[in-house]
Amino acid sequence: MIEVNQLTKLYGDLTAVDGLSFSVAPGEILGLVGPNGAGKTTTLTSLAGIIIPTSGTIRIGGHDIAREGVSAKSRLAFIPDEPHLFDYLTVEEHLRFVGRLYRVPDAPERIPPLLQELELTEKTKALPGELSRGMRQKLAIACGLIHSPTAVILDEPLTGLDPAGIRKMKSTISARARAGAAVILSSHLLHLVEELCTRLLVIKRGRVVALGTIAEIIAVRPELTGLGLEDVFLALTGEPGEALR
Amino acid sequence: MSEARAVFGVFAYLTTTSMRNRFRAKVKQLKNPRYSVALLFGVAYIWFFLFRPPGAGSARPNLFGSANIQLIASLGVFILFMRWWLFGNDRSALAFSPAEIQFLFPAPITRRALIQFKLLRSQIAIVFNAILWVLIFGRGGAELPAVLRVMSVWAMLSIFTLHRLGATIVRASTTQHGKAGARRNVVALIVFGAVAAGLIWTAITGYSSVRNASGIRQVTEAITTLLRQPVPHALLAPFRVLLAPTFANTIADWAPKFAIVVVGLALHYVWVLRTELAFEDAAVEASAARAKRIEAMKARRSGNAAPVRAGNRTWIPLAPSGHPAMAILWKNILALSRTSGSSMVGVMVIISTFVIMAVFISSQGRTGFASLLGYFALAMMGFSVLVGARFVRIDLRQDLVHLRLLRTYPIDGSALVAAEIAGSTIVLTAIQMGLLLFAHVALLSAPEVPLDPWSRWLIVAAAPLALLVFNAATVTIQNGAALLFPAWVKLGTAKSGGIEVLGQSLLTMAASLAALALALVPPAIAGGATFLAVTTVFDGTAIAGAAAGCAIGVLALGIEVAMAMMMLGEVFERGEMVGVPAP
Repeated sequence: MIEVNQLTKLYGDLTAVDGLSFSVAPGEILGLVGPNGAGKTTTLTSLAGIIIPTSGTIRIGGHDIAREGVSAKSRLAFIPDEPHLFDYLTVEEHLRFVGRLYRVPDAPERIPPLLQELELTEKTKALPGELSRGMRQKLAIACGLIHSPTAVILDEPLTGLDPAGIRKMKSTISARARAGAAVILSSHLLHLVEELCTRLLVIKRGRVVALGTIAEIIAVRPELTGLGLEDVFLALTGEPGEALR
Repeated sequence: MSEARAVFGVFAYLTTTSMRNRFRAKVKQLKNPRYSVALLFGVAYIWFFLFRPPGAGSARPNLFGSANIQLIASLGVFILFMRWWLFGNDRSALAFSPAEIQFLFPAPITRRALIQFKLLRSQIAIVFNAILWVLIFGRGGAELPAVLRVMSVWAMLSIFTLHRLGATIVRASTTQHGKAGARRNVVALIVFGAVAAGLIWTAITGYSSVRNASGIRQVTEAITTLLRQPVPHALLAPFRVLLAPTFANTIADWAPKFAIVVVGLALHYVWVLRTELAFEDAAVEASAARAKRIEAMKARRSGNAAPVRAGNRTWIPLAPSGHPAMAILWKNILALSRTSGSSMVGVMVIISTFVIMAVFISSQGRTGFASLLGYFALAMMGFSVLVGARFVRIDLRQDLVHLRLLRTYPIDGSALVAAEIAGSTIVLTAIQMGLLLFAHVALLSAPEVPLDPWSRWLIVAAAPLALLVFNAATVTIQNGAALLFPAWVKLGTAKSGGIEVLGQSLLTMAASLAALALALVPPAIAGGATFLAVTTVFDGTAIAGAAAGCAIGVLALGIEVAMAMMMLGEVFERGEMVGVPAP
């Protein structure tokens, strides 16, 4: 369960996120979308405990990330768009390292099936420098999943993946949600969001523009009936009437 | 306007505007009080050590005035040149940045202009270094005006740069031309091999004079006497000529020597320009290698890491359960073992074996050579205690580029900071203990060492703990600087250049030393008070007082370090970390 209440982040005079509130239940995949500069990355990095919000609370599995950071983070996986890997650890060593950090005593047993799931078995002994962009992304995802997180935050997870990798990744995300994880997925690929997400959070200039299933959003804005998600998105985030011009 | 002038104008514009904008960006950071206070602190420190007027009776060192140092330096320059020709595979002298490749290589300019651009860029660092060298090493004593000394050092460093560039181009060219190229490289091998053989022959024949000397001064005298013999004197003559104006003491002495070096500089310039045909291929290759590294760095969001060969990977086990902080320490030690590589370990083993043999042999006769090695090891240890933390960087300075990732880990901030600091601390302590043990053994028979062997053994036995705490303090200061002033500290392993980077580095070093001095005040007071208490109140001996004082001092420093780690842990968890490279 991810619960966000009145999340606000200021950078000097700039309000990046302004009183954002939402929650993601176990098994749910929330799609976070918004135009460039809407505050998506600030929201995600706040949820991951990377930046400290100016005000508001974030709870992961019932633990306040500001007060109980270690407990909250141990239930969380943040998978950024660019894989952050250590140059001198092999694929397997990355997983052992993260297993120890997240206190996963059976990590050695979890590693082989995880590598198989992400098609990295043949690269067990490879360093990040010897991996393609897509494989590095898969390794970052494997590192995020080894401790079976109950909350998963993904920022453009398909960047750099080939079509087979994209299909695999979509099934991995769905499988984690089915296993009971609360998932937040941020992406500009609206068809991906439409395909995977159970609900949608649209933000603009740090504020919630729409929250709910597509049907719920259209119910609030009947003029959007019959439009595709792209047009709905543009109508919600652009100037009034932009999508319909 | 000629093409050359137009090209020069473009390059000068690129260089000056880049410098100006980089400088402006740095000045902007000064709006943050933390940075402005640090700047004042660092500037005051640098002024105190480099620019303050000499006090009454205080003699300022002028290393450039010593003929013996010139002689030994000429040997050093020979080794430097030999390395460039025979072992130099450093292509950084040739590499262009990705932006330079994108804009300059397809541009309608000649290869010669590209070389000139490279040389123009290198002049910024050379001028800065020349001034710095004279400020540090040649501040007083001689009649020669400082500006002439700076000109001499500038000419010398310019020749170094040109020669290294030329050697790199020739070597790169010969590598590409197969056997024909290899034959050309043989010339360098013969020339430098002949000089090296002459010097080794001199060293072998004159070894007994060095062995029989006792004390550092006598050993130095013996070495310089050897270097004055006809054969080494003749072999090292070109290198002495290069150094001559830098070591001149009067204007009359300086002028003709400087004229000769300027001629040498001009010849080097012409030589490097004549390599233009080979230059572009070599530069493209070097730049491509650099671009590949940068690309990998961008993809991995990490430093400018060198690849590790598949067969060259050390393995250190990590238990799956236990405190998570140990995983950070494990990762850093593993990274160090892989970056330093087995070749480094092999070289160290060979050097150590030779040194130990030398000590053993010389201990059979006079102790001079053994003492020299012992003092050298002690000096190296002292140096590493003071500034070693700047060079061993398997801690937050390397990992802070992964800040976003580190902050997602379920581990307390202070524990993470402590684990990061532990890696560098352990490595430094191990190196220093090795040097201390070596010095101790080498100096066992030295009559001039004041303490008896038993007391020295006690010091060696107590040293690990003291060194561990002291190193933890110096590494904590370096990591504190990285956390508090990330924009001023080199993070990751990426190399950065520019005059302000050199200044910045000097500033951070000065500030770190000043912070260390401040950190040592409370332990010094606690240790001093303990010494007085033991010797006066409890009527203990001076040795007992010193031992108790040291123990309390180390304890006080340890408490300070622990408090600093907790504070830095808070900064790590909650700081905005403005200035950390964007992931």
